[in-house]
Amino acid sequence: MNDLAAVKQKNVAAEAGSIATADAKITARNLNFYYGSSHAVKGVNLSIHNKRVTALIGPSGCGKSTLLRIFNRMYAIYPKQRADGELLLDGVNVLDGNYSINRLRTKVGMVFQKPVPFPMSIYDNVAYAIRHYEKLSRGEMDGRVEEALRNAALWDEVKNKLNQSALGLSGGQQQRLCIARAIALKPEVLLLDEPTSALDPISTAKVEQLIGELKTQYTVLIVTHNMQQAARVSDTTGFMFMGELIEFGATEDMFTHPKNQKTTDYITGRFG
Amino acid sequence: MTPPHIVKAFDQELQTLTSSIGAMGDFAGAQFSDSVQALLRGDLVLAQRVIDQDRQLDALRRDLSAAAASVIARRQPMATDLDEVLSDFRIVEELERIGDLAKNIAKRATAVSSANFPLEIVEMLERLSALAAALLKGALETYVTRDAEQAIVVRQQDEEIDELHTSIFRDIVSRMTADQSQVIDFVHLLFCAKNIERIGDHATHIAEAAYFTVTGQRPPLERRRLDQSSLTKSADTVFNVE
Repeated sequence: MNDLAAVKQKNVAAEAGSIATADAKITARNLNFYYGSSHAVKGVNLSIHNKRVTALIGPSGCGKSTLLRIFNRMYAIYPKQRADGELLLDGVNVLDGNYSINRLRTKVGMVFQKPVPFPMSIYDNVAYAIRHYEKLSRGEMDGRVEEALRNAALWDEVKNKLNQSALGLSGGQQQRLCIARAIALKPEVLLLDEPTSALDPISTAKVEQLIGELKTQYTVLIVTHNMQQAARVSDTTGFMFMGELIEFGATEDMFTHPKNQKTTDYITGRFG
Repeated sequence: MTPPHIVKAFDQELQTLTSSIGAMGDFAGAQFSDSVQALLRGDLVLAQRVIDQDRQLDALRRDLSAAAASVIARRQPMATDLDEVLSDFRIVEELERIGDLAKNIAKRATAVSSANFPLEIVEMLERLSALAAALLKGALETYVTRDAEQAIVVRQQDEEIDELHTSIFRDIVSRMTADQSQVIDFVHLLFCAKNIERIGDHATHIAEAAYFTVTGQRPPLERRRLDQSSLTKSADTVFNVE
């Protein structure tokens, strides 16, 4: 590499560093989303820290789930939905049509509000996505399934019934199975869309404990209606209202001394 | 103007807590005034009443702390609401301590001979207790009315209390040196003056908690501490003896 090329490369790296704040995994710049003519996410700018938990809170219809779904281009199958602006994953704009959606979804896993186990065995639920992307020997696959189930804090509960139907698991176990399925592909980012809203308090606590463990390996984004849950599990919180990101900062500050009056009114239950 | 909570019962609980703490503050203030009157007038019946009624302040502290804890457990207050409940806890503790100090003054009232108190000392202690009572009243008003600006003004009043307490301390110590026949009474008066000065400090903490309730911040500047009594040397007093 000649000197000029080296300087150029250095400048590009410096520019990426300035766009994304230090240790940012994901950076949104003037991010917008439209359902047809409806402008659902409006000019969002934010940086999501690597291997931290970031929570998005806000009233129903504020755009928080929509924002979450942009991160893995969930909208791509709907022709009238579109995003613009920039969404950088490790400095690369994933909204660019040249960015493979398959590649994106191996990097960004997602778990939904209601656990949706596939109507197959516990083992196959986890192995299903791996088979889609990788050719592994039986032994390697066993290892990957066990690793995913262990990381989802489910292994001890299911190790003796891996061939039984996943539909026989409790709601909380099913949700942790969905998390195991998502992390089986070894993603870098995990999107959780209200992952405990259908669970009882004990199952919720287990998932919250799991989120705390997952952040050592993954960058986690969670959308939740439960503000106490956001306060408990996240390092950073964003408050959204009518498609705008009103406030984004350290969770500790957001729930004790928020800067914006709208945030205060929302988290103290004065909204409306 | 802060909008009301969607859940009206939450507002009612916070308002009930505030008004109950305000009432506890009035009771603590009355205990304090009665204790000083009992001391300076030699009213032993009043002194005993203050001692007996302190149990009621202790009970109020227990009940109101439990009520504040209940708000935390059931409502999970956040941001400004959390600041408010944390201040409530603190103010309840301050008021209970004021009650303890008033009870201590009342106890000492039963051990002294007020008829022999020098008039100048009586007048200075009356002035000191009037200043502390006014500070307590003002602090409670800023808390109940959520007036952060006035809370800053009120806390400054503690400076005058500190200065007067230092003067009283030196005066009493000078008299102790000159007239050893009353030394026990003077020792009690020293403690009573210190108790009153401490009540002023607790009232100041209430004003600071009131400020925190509104702003979520500590008051902007550390107040000046002008009570020099603990630094007083013998040379500061003996030459003042008439």
